[in-house]
Amino acid sequence: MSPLPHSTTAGLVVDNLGGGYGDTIVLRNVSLSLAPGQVLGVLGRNGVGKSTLMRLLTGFLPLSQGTVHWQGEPIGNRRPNHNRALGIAYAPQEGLVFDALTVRENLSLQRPDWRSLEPLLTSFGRVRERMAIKAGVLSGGEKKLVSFVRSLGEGAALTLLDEPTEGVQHENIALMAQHIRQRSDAGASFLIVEQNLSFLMSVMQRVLVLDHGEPVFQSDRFTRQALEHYLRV
Amino acid sequence: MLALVLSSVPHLSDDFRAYQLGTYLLYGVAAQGVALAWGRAGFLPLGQALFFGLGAYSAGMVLIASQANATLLALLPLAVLLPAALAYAIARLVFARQYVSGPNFSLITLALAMLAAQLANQWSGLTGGFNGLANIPEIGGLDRYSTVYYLIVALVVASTALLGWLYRTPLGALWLAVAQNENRLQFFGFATDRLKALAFALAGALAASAGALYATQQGLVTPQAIGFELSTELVIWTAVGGRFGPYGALLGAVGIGLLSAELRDVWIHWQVAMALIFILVVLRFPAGMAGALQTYGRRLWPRSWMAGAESLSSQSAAAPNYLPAPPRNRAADTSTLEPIRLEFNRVNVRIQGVSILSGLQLHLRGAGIHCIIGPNGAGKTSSFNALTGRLPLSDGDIHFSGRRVSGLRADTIARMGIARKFQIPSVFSALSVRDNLCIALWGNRANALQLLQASTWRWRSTLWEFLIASFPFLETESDRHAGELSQGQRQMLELAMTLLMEPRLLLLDEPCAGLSVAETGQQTDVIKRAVTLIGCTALVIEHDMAAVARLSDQVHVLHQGRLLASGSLADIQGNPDVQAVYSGGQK
Repeated sequence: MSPLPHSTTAGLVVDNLGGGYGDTIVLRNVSLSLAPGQVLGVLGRNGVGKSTLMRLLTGFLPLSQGTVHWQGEPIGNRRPNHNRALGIAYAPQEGLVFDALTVRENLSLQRPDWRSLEPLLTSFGRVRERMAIKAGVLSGGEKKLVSFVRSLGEGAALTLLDEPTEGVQHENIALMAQHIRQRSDAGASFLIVEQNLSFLMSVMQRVLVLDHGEPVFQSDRFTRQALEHYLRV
Repeated sequence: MLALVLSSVPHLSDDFRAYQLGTYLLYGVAAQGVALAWGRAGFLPLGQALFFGLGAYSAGMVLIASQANATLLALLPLAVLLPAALAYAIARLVFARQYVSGPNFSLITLALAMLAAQLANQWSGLTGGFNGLANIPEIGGLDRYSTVYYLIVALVVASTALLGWLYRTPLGALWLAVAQNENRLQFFGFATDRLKALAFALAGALAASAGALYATQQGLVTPQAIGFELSTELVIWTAVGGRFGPYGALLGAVGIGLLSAELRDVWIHWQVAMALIFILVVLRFPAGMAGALQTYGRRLWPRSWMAGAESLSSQSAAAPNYLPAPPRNRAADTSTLEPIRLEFNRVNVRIQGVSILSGLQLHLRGAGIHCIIGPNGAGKTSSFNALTGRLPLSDGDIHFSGRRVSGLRADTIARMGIARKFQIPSVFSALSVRDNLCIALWGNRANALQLLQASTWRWRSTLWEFLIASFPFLETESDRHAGELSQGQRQMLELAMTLLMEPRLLLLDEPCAGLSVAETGQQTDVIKRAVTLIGCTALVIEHDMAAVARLSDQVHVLHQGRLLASGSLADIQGNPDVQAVYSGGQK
């Protein structure tokens, strides 16, 4: 791959990224750029490397090739604990909450500005109701909501969400979309891995489709029909 | 080969060396028991010297008494059987009703070993106190400095062969499964507390047999043979030698133990070096010396005799002569002939002051698929938890085909023919895909004898063939570890495993979560066809209305821990009460 055609100082620039688990390379040749305020949806069938992409971008897995630049700085292969300082929030697909801590404690760990959490808690009243109980007692969908509130509560410039709507009821999915749109209008970027195409269609401006560990389509012009074609089993 | 190498030691070296080696081989057999419990079945015993010491003291006492009356020798097997029975009892008591291994067991065994050492010290009349039980005669006219060694070699060979064989049986796979995901295994109908107690009884028997020979080899048993220090050393030798196979513990006890005994007097810094070796091995070689040897051995000689242990079922799979799996064991449910009937009667569940289920009333009858929908936190998964023994009811009861199930254990409920797929896919991550499927197939089918037969690995069922045709990756990726699959593939694998039980009642918690629209269609087709093939009742929690529409026309809406409405999908969607709380959407 040729080097970057131009250097961008704002947003996320990923060039020729690849990696996986140990000797197994799961993902290859991924290049993408994400401008401030942009929402990028990542689609693909199961096992094509979507979650691996998230883990590579958040430093949970080492890169085997390529570079990642965030606001002009190279951030490939850093440790995940630097994410917060870099202004990157991440809601993983599994392992969403600390089961032994209460919901309030889960939301407090990042020392948030509770005023910024307020609109989220107003939307997701269920989370506020559960504030005092251990997160481990929550249902699967409620845990997803807590994880969503926590990651958006970080007010990060870039938020990575891995299947945020899994197990979440329709009304709450619509509210999630609304919050994401509000934040992106205010200049925050999102990278979202999702299987719920309806949800993704309502928030994303750009789409990346992965297959067999490589990008097969990337554009800001897409139709639901075309995307469904890529996802056909 | 092991027998040959060990038997040649007295000839190549001298009797004293062989005597010394013999002592550490005995420790090695006790350490093999630690490896069985810890490396295989996943629970760490910290007081294994308790059984070693019990075997040593009781064998010593029998041998001393038999000098006056030779018929008392017939009591010698008790020196092994009693400690083994004690081990079984301890494990059953500690592990009853548990489904995650905590530190309790380790701490209890540690305390028991310390207590036993105290008793051995205090109770001088019986044990000889601090000075020990002395003047123990040799067994059967053998000489402790020469011929007893061969008895020890025989024990080592027997224990290694026994473990090597057990580790390849279905039972050996179940022990690994207990270590990885005890909760899941219970839902296949296996009483995991018994599986663990069995492993611990065997570990106790190994330690006690080693202890019994130790008594006759040493002629003296002191409280050191029963206490905390030896217990810890057994754990260290196991960790350094390798806890996953039968050889590692032997290697650790002999390699590290013997080396320590030699070097500790010669080189004053030896203990420090030993500590560094221990730390290095734990950090760099979690599988111990045996694991490192295996890794490097395979690199040098890829097709060596050591290779090929990755997938337990891989050898059996090479032989294509599959056996039809026996029908599901219906002995546990007395009411097979009755139609399927599930009743939640005014079920209440409260946790930490929060009402999870409040007066849930739900009656289902006959075969077919029912869907449960409802807002987040409505109690959908909780109703499954209450039904399968994972949530205690504060009020009300649940009946399945005329039998009260609330209050029963998860494995008992599974044996009644209730199978459950979890919301977050739950599989045995470090076992191969095929091993996962095999274990599911054995659930409710295999009896104790069949769990010891290699032929059980070759069981297949009609449903298995159907599932492999539906999800080809189950066949093409069958040697991969289940943990390496994507979440969606784990969804499909766990669905397949749950279906393989051929249950009477099938509980599926969001089986299409994390799947694309097309994959959701495929998954729902498999569910529908399998339910027809099995002839069971299915209860499916689902948020995707497209999936609900494909699956069933019997929909139940839960809200705030109770049933809000039941009916066809059209009825439900037209119901103003439902519209007020839940509209439902599509992927």
